[in-house]
Amino acid sequence: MQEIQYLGEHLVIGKIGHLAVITGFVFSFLAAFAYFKQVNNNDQSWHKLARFSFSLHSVMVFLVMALLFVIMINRYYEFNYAFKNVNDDLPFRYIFSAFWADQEGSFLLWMFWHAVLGLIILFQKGKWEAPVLSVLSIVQFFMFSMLMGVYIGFGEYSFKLGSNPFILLRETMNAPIFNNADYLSLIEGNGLNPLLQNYWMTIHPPVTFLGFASLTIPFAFSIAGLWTRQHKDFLKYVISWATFSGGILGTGILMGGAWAYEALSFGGYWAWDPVENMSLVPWLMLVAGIHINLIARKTGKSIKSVYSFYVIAFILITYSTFLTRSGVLGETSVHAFTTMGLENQMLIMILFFVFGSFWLFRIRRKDFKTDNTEDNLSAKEFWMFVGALVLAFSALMITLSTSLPVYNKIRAFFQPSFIGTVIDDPVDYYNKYQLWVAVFIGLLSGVGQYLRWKESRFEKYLKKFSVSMGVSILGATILTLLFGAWMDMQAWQYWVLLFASFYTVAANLDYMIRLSKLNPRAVASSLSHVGFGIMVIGSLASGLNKFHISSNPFAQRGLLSEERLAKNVMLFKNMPMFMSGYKVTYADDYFEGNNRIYDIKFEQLDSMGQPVDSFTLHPTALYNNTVTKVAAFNPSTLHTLSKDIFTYIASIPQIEADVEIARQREDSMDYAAINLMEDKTAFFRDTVIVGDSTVIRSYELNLMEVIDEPTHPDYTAQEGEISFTPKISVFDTYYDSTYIVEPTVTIRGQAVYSYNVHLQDLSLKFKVKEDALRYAIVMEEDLDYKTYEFGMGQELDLEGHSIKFTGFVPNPESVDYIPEEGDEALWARFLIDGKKEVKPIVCIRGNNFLTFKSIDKYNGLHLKPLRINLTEGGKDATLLMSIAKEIKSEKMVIPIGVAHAPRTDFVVLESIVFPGINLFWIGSIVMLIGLFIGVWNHRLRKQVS
Amino acid sequence: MFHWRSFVNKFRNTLIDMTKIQIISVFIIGLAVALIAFSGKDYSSYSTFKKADGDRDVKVAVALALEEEIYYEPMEDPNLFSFYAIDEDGEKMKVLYAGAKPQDFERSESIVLTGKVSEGVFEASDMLLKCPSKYTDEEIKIKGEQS
Repeated sequence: MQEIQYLGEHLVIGKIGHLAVITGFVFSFLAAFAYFKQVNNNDQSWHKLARFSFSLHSVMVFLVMALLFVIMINRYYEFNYAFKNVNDDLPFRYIFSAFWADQEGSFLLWMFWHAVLGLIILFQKGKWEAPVLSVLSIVQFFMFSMLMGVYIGFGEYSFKLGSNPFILLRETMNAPIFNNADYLSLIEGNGLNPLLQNYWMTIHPPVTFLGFASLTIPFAFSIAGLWTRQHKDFLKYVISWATFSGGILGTGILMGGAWAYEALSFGGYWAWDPVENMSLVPWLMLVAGIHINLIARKTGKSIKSVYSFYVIAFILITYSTFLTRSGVLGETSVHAFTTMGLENQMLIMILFFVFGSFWLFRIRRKDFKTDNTEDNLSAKEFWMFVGALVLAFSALMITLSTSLPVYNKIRAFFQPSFIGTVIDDPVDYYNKYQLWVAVFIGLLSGVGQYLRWKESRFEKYLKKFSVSMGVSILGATILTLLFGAWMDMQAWQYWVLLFASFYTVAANLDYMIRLSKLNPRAVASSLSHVGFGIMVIGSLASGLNKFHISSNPFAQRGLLSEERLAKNVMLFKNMPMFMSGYKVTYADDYFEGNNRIYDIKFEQLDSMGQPVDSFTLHPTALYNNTVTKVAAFNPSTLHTLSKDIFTYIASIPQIEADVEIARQREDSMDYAAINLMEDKTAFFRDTVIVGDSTVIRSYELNLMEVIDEPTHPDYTAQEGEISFTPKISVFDTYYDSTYIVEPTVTIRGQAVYSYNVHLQDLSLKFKVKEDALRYAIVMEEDLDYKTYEFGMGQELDLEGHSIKFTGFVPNPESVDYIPEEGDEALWARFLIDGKKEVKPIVCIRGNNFLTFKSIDKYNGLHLKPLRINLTEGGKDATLLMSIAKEIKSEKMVIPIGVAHAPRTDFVVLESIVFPGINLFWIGSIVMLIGLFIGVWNHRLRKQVS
Repeated sequence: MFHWRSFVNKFRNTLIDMTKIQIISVFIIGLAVALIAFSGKDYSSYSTFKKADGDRDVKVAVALALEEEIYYEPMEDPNLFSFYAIDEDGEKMKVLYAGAKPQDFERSESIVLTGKVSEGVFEASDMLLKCPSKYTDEEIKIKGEQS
């Protein structure tokens, strides 16, 4: 086959990009090796090479990212990554989202933060630089290998190492289009999934991946500490990094929850989805690690546990990446990535770090002589450690449960007949166990604050302790009872959790304000615990007491058991509906880009039915990039202090949701043929099924006139087209009401377009048949024009019509008339039979006098201006007109079609009230603020020491 | 050779040497593993319509019977969606779901239903759709062509 020389490809960018990946891969290894040599041989001569290699590897990370951005911003669709993730219409602000929407981009984002954090450590020039960066470089080395995209052959086996982000589209698939050398001018990218075209997608991944990357630093410190045996020093330096990571990863997870709640129709912020679980688990281990780190610094004990927890937290992050990116989770998760084909490579990476760390622990175990002095039950460190163990328990439970699909896979591998199991109800299942974790954490984090480090003479201290305990228990009990009166607490377990949460809030506030007098160290820990308590209270309130207001108690049909409660209501446009104390109206809908926005007006009514409050929510239907089909429905939420009202559209008519279905429906619609004549009433009978009986509705149709400018909302005038629009009155004999419809038929070149009118209130659809166009097509040569002169206000009688010239109107508009600079143009306004306005246009353009004729289609009158005669003095003008009336051989008979068409102006709405949800957000944020104050404290203290 | 006696001795000494924290650690890890191992009633494998005739909700993996009626008329009842599904044994059954019809329902490759059979009809409390290539459409779009 002959090699095709493709046009317009930017192959050199891909070549440089791939070269940068390979360079980064090599230099990350070199950095790891050089730093290793420097530490292990205590040989400073390696230092320069190590720093150079690490810096160069960082430059390569930045370069690869920059090049990938270049191909995406410029829409170089010859590259698969650009083709898959962007298209011509994607706004610039979503390029970033598109960048990390896919596997390679998100790996790069992760590596970017590794490089940035690594460079910070490098520029600090501390003694930890060499060992920590050696470990970090190894991690980067593994990550670069994920982007290599090279095949390594072993005999007949070939192994794919990594997935190159710069691979060309024509290398990934075989399509006939690639036989065309100029294929690039023909193709367009797929674009970003509309669900991800969202500002959360711009900020959530960078924060989460900074969280992931920052978690590698405590791991690197741990390995470095074990390796160089500086255990004490390790404890001092790692804590600020670990706390920083806890704050950032926590922020990332919280942002994910906020995204799900604010912008997706999940109806909540946390669903125990595997992807959520596996980002929470490393955070739990990290937080447990931070607590043991504090213990170890105070008491010099439990150093081994600090190492283990930080190492496990990192390994869990890699495991989490494996789960979400390998396709193992399959149907158990709603938002796992599609597979990248790198499962084995990721497994090798995990196993390397697991066995490497384990081996290091083995050879260093003699450093940690077990101290068998009996634990002191009244000391802070004992209960803090128990708290950390409870967190670890939670992490272990969640990890094991989330790994059920992995267990199924492994077991089925050895025993093909094995049928895997799934968790029946994940939310119930996880809540059931994690509830007790939260209870213990609440109690321990409250009591722990009142205990002292290494307490050995508790008896002396007992009185003070008892007072504090009394105060906090009393406070918590009162708050629990008050809150319980407001909320419906359903089961005793929830009361226990509520008390435990209020207890930690009360105890920590008491400790922070009364006992420690706002000492910054106490503020950091107390705020975190207070935040935790408030967060749990908020999730209890919003989770247990959420309720649907979108239910109409009269609409139940008894078809389903009572437990399957109805959640949705249907709203017709402009027809208010009463539900759970609200009067709800679907007022309007309109497009903004590919987002269809609905205005849903809520009016809260008091017991007398009087409106007390009103607000409008704007849930949306997000269409795909070609606006042919709904991709997703996104919610809109009213936030108030005490509750949120979360509202989204559960469904819209299929015709509205999918252009293809609308086309099929229209094609299969059975229009009854009716001929409309002037001065004669036509009838249409519609058979409607109401419940079990059929009802016949009859309508009277009258042709009112033929209008010149179509009014259909989808219609836009085009030059040279011919259109015909009858104005028809529809009289509903049953309800004694009249409607007006104006369907249009248009011919543009060879194509005929029908603009049919759907009369929603009557469930009827009207169209004008193509034959009617013959009344619109009049040959100019068949017309018998005569010339008339009009003065201002002058009236003329022509073949039974009165034609009156009423004057000139400025700024004319018409399809035929295209304004030019310097035009002096006017409408000449005529009134026909005292009611119908016809406005031909006169225009002076340079030395030319242009005229544009106008037609009264109903009466068949053609009005063409000839010239303007100025009378003496220029005070008055007369207009010379050429007017013709079509000669009709017969009366106008307009064929129309009328069909029964169910209403399509409705939405199915789901509306949920989340009481107290703000407590969840406030609590989470307070907890994170506590962590960040902790980072600040540790950094300050390190500078002092 | 495995020395049984020395193993027991070693185990006993370890227990005696353990601090409270170590005992709690072992207990907590044991508890987690035990809870997972013995919470079998929280898990189940995908059931079939035949076996779903109990009091408890079960999960059934089904395929949509496209030749049968897919009914959702929000004007009649916005909370009633019904369709027919075929389970792994090839049994076809009517399914009722109290809610709106999900977007792209007809395109779903397989559906995981949660619910139980009542009077010959499967009442679903939850549905999870699996759609083909949810995130990317592996098609080459030609510019300017109406889709």
